[in-house]
Amino acid sequence: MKLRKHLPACLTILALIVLIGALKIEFVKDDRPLAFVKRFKPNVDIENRSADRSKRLDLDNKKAELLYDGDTLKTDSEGYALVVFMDKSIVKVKPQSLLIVRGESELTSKRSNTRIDLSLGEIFLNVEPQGNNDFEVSTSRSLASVKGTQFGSNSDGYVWVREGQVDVTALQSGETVSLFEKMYAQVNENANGIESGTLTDDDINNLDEGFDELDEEMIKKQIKFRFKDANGQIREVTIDYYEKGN
Amino acid sequence: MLSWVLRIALLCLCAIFIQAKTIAQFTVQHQSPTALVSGEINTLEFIVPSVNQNDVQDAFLFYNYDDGIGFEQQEVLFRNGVFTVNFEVDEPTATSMEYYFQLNLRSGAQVFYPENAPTENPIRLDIIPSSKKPSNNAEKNANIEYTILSPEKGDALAPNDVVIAIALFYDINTLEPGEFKLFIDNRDVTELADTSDYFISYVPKDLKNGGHTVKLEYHTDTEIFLVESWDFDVVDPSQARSSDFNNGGKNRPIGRIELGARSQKIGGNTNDAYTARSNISGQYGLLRYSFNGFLTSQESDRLQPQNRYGANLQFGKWLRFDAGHVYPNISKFTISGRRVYGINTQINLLKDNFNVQFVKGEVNRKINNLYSGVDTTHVVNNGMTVDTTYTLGFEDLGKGTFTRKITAGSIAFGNENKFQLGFHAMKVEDDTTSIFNVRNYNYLLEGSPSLYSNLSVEDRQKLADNPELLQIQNGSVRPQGNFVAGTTLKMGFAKNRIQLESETVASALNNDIYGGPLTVQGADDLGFDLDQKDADLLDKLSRLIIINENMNVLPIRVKNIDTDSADAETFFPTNILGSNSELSINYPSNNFKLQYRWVGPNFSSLANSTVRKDIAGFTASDRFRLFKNRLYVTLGYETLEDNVTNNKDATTKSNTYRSNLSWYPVSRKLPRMSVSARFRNRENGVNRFNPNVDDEFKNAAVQNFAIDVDEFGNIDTLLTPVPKESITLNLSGSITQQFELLNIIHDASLSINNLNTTDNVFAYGDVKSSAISFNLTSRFSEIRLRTQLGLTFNNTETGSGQTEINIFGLYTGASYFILDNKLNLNGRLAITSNTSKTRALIVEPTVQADNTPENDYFVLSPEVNESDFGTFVIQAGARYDVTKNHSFIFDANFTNVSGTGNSNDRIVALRYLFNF
Repeated sequence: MKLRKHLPACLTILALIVLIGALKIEFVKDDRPLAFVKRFKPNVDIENRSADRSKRLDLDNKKAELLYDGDTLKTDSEGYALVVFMDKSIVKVKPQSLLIVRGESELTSKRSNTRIDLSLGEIFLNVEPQGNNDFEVSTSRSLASVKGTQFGSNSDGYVWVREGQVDVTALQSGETVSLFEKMYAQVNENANGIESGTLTDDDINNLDEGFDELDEEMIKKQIKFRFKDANGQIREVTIDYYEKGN
Repeated sequence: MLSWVLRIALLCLCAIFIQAKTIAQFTVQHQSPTALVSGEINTLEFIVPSVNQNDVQDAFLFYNYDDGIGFEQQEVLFRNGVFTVNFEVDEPTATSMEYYFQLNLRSGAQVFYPENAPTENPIRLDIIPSSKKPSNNAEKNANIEYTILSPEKGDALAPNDVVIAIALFYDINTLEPGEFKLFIDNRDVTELADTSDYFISYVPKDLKNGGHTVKLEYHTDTEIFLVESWDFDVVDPSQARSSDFNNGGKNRPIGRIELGARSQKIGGNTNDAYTARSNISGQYGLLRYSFNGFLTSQESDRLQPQNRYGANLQFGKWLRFDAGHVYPNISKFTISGRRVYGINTQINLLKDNFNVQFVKGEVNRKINNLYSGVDTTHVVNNGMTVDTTYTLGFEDLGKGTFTRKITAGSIAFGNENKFQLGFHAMKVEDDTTSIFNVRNYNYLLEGSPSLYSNLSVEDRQKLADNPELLQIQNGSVRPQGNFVAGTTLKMGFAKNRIQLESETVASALNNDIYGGPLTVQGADDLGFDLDQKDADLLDKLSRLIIINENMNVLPIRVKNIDTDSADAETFFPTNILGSNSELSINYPSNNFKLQYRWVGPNFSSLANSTVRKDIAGFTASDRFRLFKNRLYVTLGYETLEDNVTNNKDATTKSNTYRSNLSWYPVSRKLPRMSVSARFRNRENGVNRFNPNVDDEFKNAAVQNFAIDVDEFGNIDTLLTPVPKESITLNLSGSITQQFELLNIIHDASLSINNLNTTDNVFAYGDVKSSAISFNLTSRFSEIRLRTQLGLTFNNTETGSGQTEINIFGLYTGASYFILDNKLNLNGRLAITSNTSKTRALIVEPTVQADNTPENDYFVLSPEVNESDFGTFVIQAGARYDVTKNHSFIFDANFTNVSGTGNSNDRIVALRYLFNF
């Protein structure tokens, strides 16, 4: 009975001890890059105060800018960025966004933990399903854990899923909801409650708006012509062409 | 003759000179290697300054081995202003090679290197054997794993958009020392690339249109391993056509159609349901449109609409028009997401500085009353009928609802991110003519005679003489009216990181609008005077709300009541007001919010019943992040009280303190933890006092008293409200740890929640609740299988023993993807055991028997009602994606409830999805 009475307090103290002990382990620096900026326009800044790094990406500098643990990526009012992570996950960053990439990846295997701290703005992610990697997006209210999905998140704790599954946790209460295709979740300002629901295609389109700014892929396609030659035989000619696609 | 010879000679000289000059425009620069290496790719570059693609017809490398008699040729590609050839010695025994370069221009001219008699004086090089013996290209080093990040195999990219990036994974302790080499089109670009131990990236400059090959090799002292080789294309975007003839396909609508069939047996009732759901949306320039619909065979005119459909049109950011089943949001106090069947229009002009919204439609649709007939009950005394009551009954669930109409609008000036002032109003009113609603016998006569056919002639006459004798079971449906109006103020500072938002509204609610607004005659019947001017005003106001004696708050105050000069005057009741103000400061690592609200007890919105009434107070919270956003700290304080208009005998105040500490490390080797504490005290300032009850049972007394001493020193004992004084402590925590076992990633979570409420003034007000849950989620590496196992324990005791509930639950589930992820199989098994004991709170029988309520006190009934039941749920489902557009989803669910209220329920559902 006595133990039961003091159980919550004991657990709290135990948790704090583990937490403090974990602090040291957590901040072991990993020099491996977590991601690189594949495309951007026009003004994107990279900062890392602890590494004394601060630079504005230069469109003329033909170099893929690498992002390391703790790097901050900031877009201005017209800035967009497309970031590719080591597991091929893609993050599209909208203007006036500020995010910090964090994570660790093992050197000997493809396993990695990645977290994006989204402080401002809005991002859309296409997270690769391969392997057992953990990919998360945290805001001041929410923590979205994802695996093989396409989803968006803004810094106000709004998460929406275009494809796949995302588990959204309210950071204060620990309440977690699973979102599936065409669902959203809004973690409230106190980070202790989640409202979730479904989205229409129109909602999805609205949420998608602006994320295609850096999509310039072209899709190789073929067109086939069939005709009869002078001998009456049917011949086929294949012509390659490219389509601008997303 | 001589002159002719000279002229011809001069012309020839000129021609030769011109030709020489033409050729002389282009000179070839070439740095020949020291030797050619057998078995390796030898890149030879020839630079011809100022030549451009339009000048070039083709170019060749002519070569032979060991003074051969002729020359073989290999085409040289013009890439980025450089003629490049990757030459591989294909004669194993050759010891030397001669070569020269020939460029054929579109002008017909030719440029050579060496310039002079190249066939006679070719460049000669020795061939040396490779110092490394390359292994079979197909052989790969098993110790090297990699991920091609960009470009994907087969990608087509614009020339300026090529980024080559490869992530490498290997154990440096087991890998033989060496270096990675990156090749593009067999040209070694390692020196130009940005390389680190585990990542290589390279942005090539102006790659030529066409196909290209990337190759990554790992070179050790003795071997060359091919890591990967893949192709991609470079395409000039201007040469690519759009994917559709109409704006890149954006005009083509996209949508989804879902057809479903469900068979279910719940509570012994079997029914089948069929559903169809569709969404279609598209865009034409700035115009966006969408249509959605949901049809179900379970649609019933006894319910609010189950079939839902709607259309949406948007023109840029300026106009939005919704019709059908819409979900407007005007403000927190008026309507906030409630379904309306009608229209919702929004206009935002002048860069969001002028905003208008208009809503019109039905909040509820009509549901007709289903009457069962008039029941006659005779009151008999000494064998004689002394009275008869007549009650019009309803069939089961037969009570109806009026069509409830809504008209609402708002107008706001200014951008809410800077300064915005807005006004809004909402009228909600039941349509009294929408349903047949019997209020007395006269109305009954307008309905079907079958409703009163059982009445005798005498009964009918009696009711005709006094129609109000007819009673309606649980009262007839009453039509209501509601009007809410208010203002909003929004301000933003510091790039909108600091926001101030305030809304103040007033509401009026009429609980029965039959009869219309109050008239002079109506007021007279109620016993007070109302002059014609005020009556006319009420008549005009009836466009917004019908004001009569059935208002929840009458804006009319009767003066000199119970006198001959009783008179009425209008006034503004403050208890119909509601106000909410919020200050938010949102910085990346700190979020602060301060809120003040004041809502009167009679505030009412028929379109939003969730507003908490009779409440006032502050709420403050601050959440900040520490340690690189790993640690989240939340501190909060809230003070609230009721009785805001001071119309109660006591005011209940509550103070709540909240704190939360959450640790979410990025590394999954570390546990994730969250610890929360909430402390709340609540009291209404009333002391527990009852001199008629023994001290032992004081806190169980039914009534409470206070000693009152008036100004003359007279002592009196007064009945008081029930005292309230309690403390609640809520502690909760959770910990999650990831670990790998048997090549499976496991996430184990343990959550504990403990709540303890101690009531200091009521013996049966304590609450104790504890819950423990454990969850293990496992993800398999080799196959796409995810399993889940969970256990929950919940023990709750409320009312100091009135109710004890113990719940144990176990669930397990799995989700498995096969057939190239086209088929997903999932299943779940859940078992719960629920035991509850309840004891009623009764007045102690011996003190109750004395018919003196002052000394009554509560005790728990000795009779304990126990209930045990268990549930067993098994669910299985599958989703098969036939193609990208067509899918089938199957779900089956079986539930068995054993023990109290045992039953077997089952649901089987099949859905077909078509995406286009």
